[in-house]
Amino acid sequence: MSTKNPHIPPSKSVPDNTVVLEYLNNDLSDAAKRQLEEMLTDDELLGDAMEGLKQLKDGHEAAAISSQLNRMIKDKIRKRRRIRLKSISFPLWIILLITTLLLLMLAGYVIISKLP
Amino acid sequence: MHSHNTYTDTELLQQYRKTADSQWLGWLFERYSLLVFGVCMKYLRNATDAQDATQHVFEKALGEVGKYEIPFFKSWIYSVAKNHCLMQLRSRSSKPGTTDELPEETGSNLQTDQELKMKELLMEEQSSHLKAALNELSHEQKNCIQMFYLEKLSYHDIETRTGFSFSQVKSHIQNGKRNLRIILEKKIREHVN
Repeated sequence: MSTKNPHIPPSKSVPDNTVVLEYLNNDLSDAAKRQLEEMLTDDELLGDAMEGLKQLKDGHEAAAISSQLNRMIKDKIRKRRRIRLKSISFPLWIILLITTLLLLMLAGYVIISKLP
Repeated sequence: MHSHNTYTDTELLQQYRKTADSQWLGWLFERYSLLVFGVCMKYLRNATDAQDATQHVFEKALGEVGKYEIPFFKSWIYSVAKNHCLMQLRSRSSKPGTTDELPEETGSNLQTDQELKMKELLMEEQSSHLKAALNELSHEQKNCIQMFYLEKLSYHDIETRTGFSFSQVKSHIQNGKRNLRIILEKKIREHVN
């Protein structure tokens, strides 16, 4: 039996993925296991998730899948941020172009108005 | 500077709305990735299908999350995942030659805010109502409830002792709790009248 105690901070509505994986590998202390099992008995999402995860071979398979999923999420977020940055840089071009044109027009007006 | 781990779900969503930076959503989604996969796995019973479904769920979430206020992200993402899987199962079973069945519902949807705190109730096992109510449960439910709450056994120990699977143990405890609540409410009503 392990002595690992999960830390489920009050800010979290669900336990960390690492705690879930340790549970699946039977790596949690009795007290921690108890805490998690009481949670999953009362929590639909956690209960269903654990039921599904128990169908996997062990926590190592779940860990591999978890890494793949998190990589997929990171990729999607990275793409989305890149698109957003591009959309921000587009109006900047427009602003620069308009400013340049205005300056040129102003300069032209000054020059023309100074002509005899 | 706070670590994103110290933020609640609602705070992460608020930060996303404030800054429009998807990174906040990324941290929120990672918090739920394994659990959403687990839910999909429960319904679809296949790791590849469950991974695809999880990907769909988060793609949908990415598109929807900024459109309206989501007061409880946890319940929301759970319904999105569950509905997606049920739709998948329905479309599979509507195809000829497939025999997928919808998984048995545990009935936990029926949980209400008034759910009795089992721990406290079972501490007062002397209560004749509770004893009588326990005896009205099915043998399996009564055994699982007693082992989990009174003997403080883990799911694994209950599985070993009874020969039930993890799902069966979970289902007997959840259904047992629900039935116990119904029986107790009925008994208390009768007692008051």
